[in-house]
Amino acid sequence: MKSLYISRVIIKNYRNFKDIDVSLGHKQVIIGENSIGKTNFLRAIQLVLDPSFSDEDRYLEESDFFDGLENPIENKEVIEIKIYLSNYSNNKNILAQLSDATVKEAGEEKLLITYKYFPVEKENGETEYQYIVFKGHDETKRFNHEDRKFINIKVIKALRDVEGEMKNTRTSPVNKLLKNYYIDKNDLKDIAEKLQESGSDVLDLDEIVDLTKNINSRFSNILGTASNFNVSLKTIDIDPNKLLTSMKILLSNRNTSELSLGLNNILYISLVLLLLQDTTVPSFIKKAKFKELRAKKDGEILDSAYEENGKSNYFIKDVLEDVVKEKLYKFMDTHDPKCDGVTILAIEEPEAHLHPIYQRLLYKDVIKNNSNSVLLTTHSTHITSIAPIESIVHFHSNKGGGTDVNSTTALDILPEELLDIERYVDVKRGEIYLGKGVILVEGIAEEYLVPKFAVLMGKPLDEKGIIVCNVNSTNFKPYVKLLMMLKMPFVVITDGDFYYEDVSDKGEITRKYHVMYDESDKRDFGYLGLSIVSNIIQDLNIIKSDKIPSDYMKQDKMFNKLGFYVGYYTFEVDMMEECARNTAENKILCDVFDRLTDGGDRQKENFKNELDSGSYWSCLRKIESNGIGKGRFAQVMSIKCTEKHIPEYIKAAINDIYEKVDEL
Amino acid sequence: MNYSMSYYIDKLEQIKKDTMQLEAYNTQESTVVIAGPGSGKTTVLTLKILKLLREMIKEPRGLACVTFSKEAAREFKERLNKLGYEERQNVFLGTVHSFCIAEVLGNFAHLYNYQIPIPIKIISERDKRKLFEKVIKDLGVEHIGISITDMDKERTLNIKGMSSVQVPTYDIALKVALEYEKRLQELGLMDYESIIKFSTLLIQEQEYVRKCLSAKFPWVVIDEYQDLGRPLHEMVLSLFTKTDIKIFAVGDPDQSIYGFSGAIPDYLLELYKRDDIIPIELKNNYRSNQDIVDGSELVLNSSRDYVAVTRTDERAEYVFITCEEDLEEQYDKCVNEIIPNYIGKGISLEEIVVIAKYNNDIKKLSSKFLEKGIPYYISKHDFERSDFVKWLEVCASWVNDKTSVSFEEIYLYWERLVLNHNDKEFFYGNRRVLEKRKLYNILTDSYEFRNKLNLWIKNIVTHLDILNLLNGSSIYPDEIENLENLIKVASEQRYKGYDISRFSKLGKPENQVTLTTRHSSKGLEFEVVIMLGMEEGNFPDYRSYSDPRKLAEENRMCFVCISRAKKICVLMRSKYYNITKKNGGIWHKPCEESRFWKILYRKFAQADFNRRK
Repeated sequence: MKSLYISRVIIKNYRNFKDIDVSLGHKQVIIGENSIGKTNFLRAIQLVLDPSFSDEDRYLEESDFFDGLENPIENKEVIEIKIYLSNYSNNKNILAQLSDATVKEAGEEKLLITYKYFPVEKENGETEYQYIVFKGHDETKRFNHEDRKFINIKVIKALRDVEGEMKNTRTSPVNKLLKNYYIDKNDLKDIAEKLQESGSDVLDLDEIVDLTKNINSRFSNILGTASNFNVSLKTIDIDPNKLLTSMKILLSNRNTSELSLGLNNILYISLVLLLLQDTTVPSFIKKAKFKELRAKKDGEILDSAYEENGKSNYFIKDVLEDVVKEKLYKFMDTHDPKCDGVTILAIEEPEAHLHPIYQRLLYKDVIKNNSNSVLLTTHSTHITSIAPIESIVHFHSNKGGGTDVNSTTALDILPEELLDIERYVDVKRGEIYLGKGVILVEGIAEEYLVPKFAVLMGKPLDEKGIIVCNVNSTNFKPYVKLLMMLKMPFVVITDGDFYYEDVSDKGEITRKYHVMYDESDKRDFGYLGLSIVSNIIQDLNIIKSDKIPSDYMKQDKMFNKLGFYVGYYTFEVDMMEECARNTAENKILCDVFDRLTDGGDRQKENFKNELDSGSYWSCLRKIESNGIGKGRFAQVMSIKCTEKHIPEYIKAAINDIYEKVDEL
Repeated sequence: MNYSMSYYIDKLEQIKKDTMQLEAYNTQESTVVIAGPGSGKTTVLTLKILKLLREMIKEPRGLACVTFSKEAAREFKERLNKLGYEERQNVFLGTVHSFCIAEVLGNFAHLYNYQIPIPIKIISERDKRKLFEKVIKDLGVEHIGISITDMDKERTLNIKGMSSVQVPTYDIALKVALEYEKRLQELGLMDYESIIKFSTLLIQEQEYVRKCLSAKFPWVVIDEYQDLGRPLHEMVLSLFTKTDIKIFAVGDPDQSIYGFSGAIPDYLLELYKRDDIIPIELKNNYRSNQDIVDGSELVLNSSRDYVAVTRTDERAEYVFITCEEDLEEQYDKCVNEIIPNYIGKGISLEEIVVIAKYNNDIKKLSSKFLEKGIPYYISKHDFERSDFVKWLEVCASWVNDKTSVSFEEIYLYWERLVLNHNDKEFFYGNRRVLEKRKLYNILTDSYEFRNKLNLWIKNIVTHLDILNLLNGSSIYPDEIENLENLIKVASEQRYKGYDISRFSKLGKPENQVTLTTRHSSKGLEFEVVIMLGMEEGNFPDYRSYSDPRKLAEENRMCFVCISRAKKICVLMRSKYYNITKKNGGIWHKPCEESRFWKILYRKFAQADFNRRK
C-alpha cells in the first residue's frame, strides 16, 4: 500500500524561488545542476514538516528572501510555502489528526499545510517578522509539533556521516528498530548473567593467573611488602540494559567500519526505510499478545498469516495472498492500532560513493518498491536513466535569476509512448534531463551532423548545454510533451518528405515519394513532414486545427515559430540540394562516397554524375546500398562537411534553439 | 475537581457489583443502555469513556461524547477529571450543537456546496422571532397560533434518512418551516436547527466527512438519547451503518419529556432493537426506596421491574395534602408548614425540591420563600448560563482561590474567544504574552470587588472590553444582551447578596430549597419531593386528553417527578380554582384529584399501607 505523499508544492519568495508551483508524485527524482536550489527546495518542505527544526530554524532572515527582491523586509514581502498532501484517506491517524486541514482541489480532497513568514505591525508602528504554520485556509488552526508526529519529513543529507550515525547508539537505526520490539527485561538479565559467568572463566586461564601474580609482585616491590594492596583482574561488567545497544551490524561478517562507504550508505538507507515502514501488521508477535489478539472478533485471520516458531512465538509467513494481507491489515488496524505517523523520506544524492550498478539497484529495489514516499536529489545519470518518466522534477534557472521547477507528474501519454521514451532515456543515460535545450531529430544522420553544423556556424551545442536527441522515428509527440512539461527549450528537425499525388483511373490517390519537385509537373503535391508536425501540434492542443493555414509556406512559418523545422525531401537530399552549385562541397560529398563504397570506379563516376545532374534520390540510394548506410555516411561527413552543406531549415533550427537557451 | 484515585477505585468496585452495569462497561461492540432513574448511568458512562480511551483507542484517535445540555457536558468533564482522565486530543465532550459546529460544519462545510454560510453566523433569538413573525404574517396564518417551537419541531421531523419511525406532521407548521428556512438561508444566517440539519446532511451524503469523523472518533458516546430528536438519530444511524464507528448510547425512553421539540422515545427504542446492537437494561435503582420506585412505575402506567438496591429496608412516605382553593394556598402551606416540618426533622434544605408546572408559578413561589426567609435555589436563572457566563464563573472561582482552577485553562478560553472575534493578527509574537498578562492583571485586580457580584462583573466586563469584542458576534449573537441582563439582575433582589464565591457555585443549591419546573427537575434527586398542582386538568393537562402521544408523555413526566424522590413524596392539590373569565367575572371552578394522585393514593394512602409503615 502506498503511503500518503506530497502532491503539490507552492513556494513564494524563498531563496531561489520567486514563485513556483509544482506537482509531485509518490516517488520523485529531483534533478538539476549544482547550486540550482535542490537543497533549498527540500529545506522549504522541511520548514513545514521537519520535526527536528527548531523555532529558530523556522525564523528566517533577510537573506532567505528571493534574491531578485530588493529590500524585501522594507517592502514587507511575504515568504509562503504551501504543501498539499494526497492519498491519506485510508490512514486513520492522519485523518484524526489532520482532517481540519482539508481543502478541495479540482474536486479532490487534499490536506494543505502552509508556512508563512510575514510582517506584523506593532502598536508603535514598527514592523516585526513572524512565522506561522497553519492547516487548511484557516490561520488560527496551527500546525504544531503534535501534528508533526503524524506527518513529517526526514532528510538524509548529501554530506552525511553514515558510519558515525550507525555507531552512535542514539542515532543508530538498528537501535531504533530494536526499540520497536518489546523485549522482556528478564530475558536480557538472564543472558547478561550467563555472559558474565562464562566471561570470568578467562580469569582461570593459567596465563592470566601468571600475569596477575607478576603484576602483584612488581607492585609490592615498589610499595614495599608492608603495604597491603592486592591487584586482581576482572572482566568487564555486562549491563543487561546495554546488551541490545551494544549489538553491531555486520555485513558478510564484516564490521560496518570496515565496509566501503558505498555499501554503508546502502545499508543505512535500507535501515532508515525499514524504520519508517508502516508497522500496523507486525512481522513478529509474542505468544501472549497472539493469544490476546486471536480471541478478538475475526481473529481467525491470524492463523492463516502467522506461523508458530519453536518458542511458541509467531512470525508472519513469507508469502501472503493479497486478500489475506488486506484483511490482516484491517484486523490489526482495528484491534492493535499503532500510533505511528507517516514520514516522507528525502535523500540527497544517494549515489554518493556508489558503483553505478549499486546506484541502479538502490533506486530500483530499495526506493521504488518502498511503500513510503521518497524524494531524492541526484546528479547520477544511472538513477535518472531508470527513474520512471513521470517521476522527474526538473530544476533550471530562469531569466529573473531564480530557479524554475517543473515536474512530469501530470505527463499524460500512452503506455507505449511511455515505454518508448523510457527506453530512450535509459539507453542515453537520462541525458535529455541534463540539457538546457534539446534538438529532437528523427535519425542517426542528423544526430551526427547537427552538432557539427552548429560548430561550423560558430554555435557549438556543448557550450550551451544543448543536446541532440535522436528519436529514431518521427514519433516526436511524447518527447515534445515531456519537454513541454519540463518547460525545457526545444526544436524539432524533421524531413519534409515531399510527394506527388498520382490519381488512378478509378480516382484512387496514391502518394509518390522520393521524387524531386518539378515546376512543369502539374500533379498535386504535399509534404508528409508538415502533416506530421501539424498532427502533433493539434494533438498537444498547441494550436487548434482550424487555425492552421492550408498554404505550405504559411504552415512552415507557423511551425517554425513553435520550434518545428521541416525540410523539403529527406535530410541527405536537402543537404545535396543545398550545395548544388558548389563544386568544392560537391567534391566533398563525392570523396566521402568514394571512400566508403565497395563499388568500383564506374559506380563512383555514376554518383558524381547523378549529383551534378540533380538526381539526388539516386545518390541517396547508392549511399544506402553498397555497404555504406546513412549513419556511416553522416559519420564521415561530419568530419569533412563545411558550412555550405547545412540545409537552411537546420540552420534556422540551430539559431532558434541557441536563442532560446540564451534567453534563460 | 482533581483526580482522586480512591474515587476511581470506589466507582470501579461499584460497577463490578452490578452485573448489568458491568456488562455495559465491558462491551466491545455498539451498545445501547436503557438506564432507569437512579441507575448509575453517569458512573457507567464516565468509566466506559475512560476504559475506551485507555484500552481500546490509541492516540491520536479519540472519541466524541455528545450530551443534551451544556450542563451535562460540564458535569461529565468534572467527573472524568475526578476519575483521572487526562486531557488528550480528539476527545470531544459537548452538546450536539457544539459537535456540529466544531467537528462537522467547521471542518467540512467549506468543501461542499450546500450554501452553508461560512463563517457560520447564527441568528439572534430576537431576529429569529422577527423573521418567524414575518413569515407567519406573509403566509397569512397568524390566526392559527403556530409557535416557533411548533415550527422548529416540524423542521427537525422533516429530515430524511433511514429511520422507520413514523411521526404525524403538522402541515401548516411545515409550510411555515420551509418558508422560514428559505429566508434564513437568503439572509446567510443559521440557527440551531439548521446547524444540526446541515451537519446531518453532510454526514449522510459525504463519504469523506464520515471517513474523517470515524478516524477521529472510533467511538461515539451519546447521553440522554431520548431527548435528542430525529436529526441526531439519523446522524447516528448514518455513522453507525456506513462507517466503522461504534456507538455507546445511554438513555431512558420513559424519561422522554421533550415531545414539543420533536424528541420521542421511539428513536432510542429503534436503535435498542437493532440486531447489530448489544441491548442492556440497568434495572437497579441506587437512589430511592422500593415504594418510590413502585409509585413511579404506577404513574408511568408500565411495569419496569426496577429494584431499589440501596434503601432496602426503608418505606416511602407519600403525603397527600388538599387545600381549599388556588395554587396560592399551596404555596403558603408549602412555606409555612411543610418545609418547616421537614427542616424540623433534620432534613437539609438542599434535599428538598418543590416542583411546579410553569416558570411563572416558580416565580410566585419564590417570593413566598423570600417573605418567609427560607433560602431557595432556582436552577433556571434570570440569565442564560452560556459558555461565556460559565467562563466568568470559573474566573470568579480562580479570583477567590488560585488553586481551584488553572489559569491556563481560563486563558485558553479567552484566547479562543478573542481569536474568533478579532482580527487574527492579534496573537502574533509577543502580543500573546501581553494578552495573557493583561487578563491575569484584570482578574487579580478584580479581587477587591469580590464581595459584590454586580460590581465584580461590571469591572471585568469593562476592563476586558467585552461588549465591544462581542459586538456583532456571529457565534454568540445573543451574548451581549445576555450579559447586559446579567449585570442588571445581579443587582436585583435574587442575586443581591451574592459574592463571587456564591457566583462560582451557581450550578448547585447551597443550603437552599430547590424550586423547579417539572421539565427542569430531570436529572436531579432529593430526599423530599413536593409536587404542586396535582389536579386533573392541570396534571395531566386537559389539552393532552385528545392525543394519546401527549397523554403518554404526561405519564412519563409524572414518572420523572416521582422518581426524583429518595424517600418522601408530597402531593398537593386544591379543590377549587378561581379563574378570571373573559367578561371579567370569576369562575369558581371545582377540581378533581389528578389521576396520578388517585393511583398513588389508592396504593399508598390506604390504611393498611400506613399501618405497615
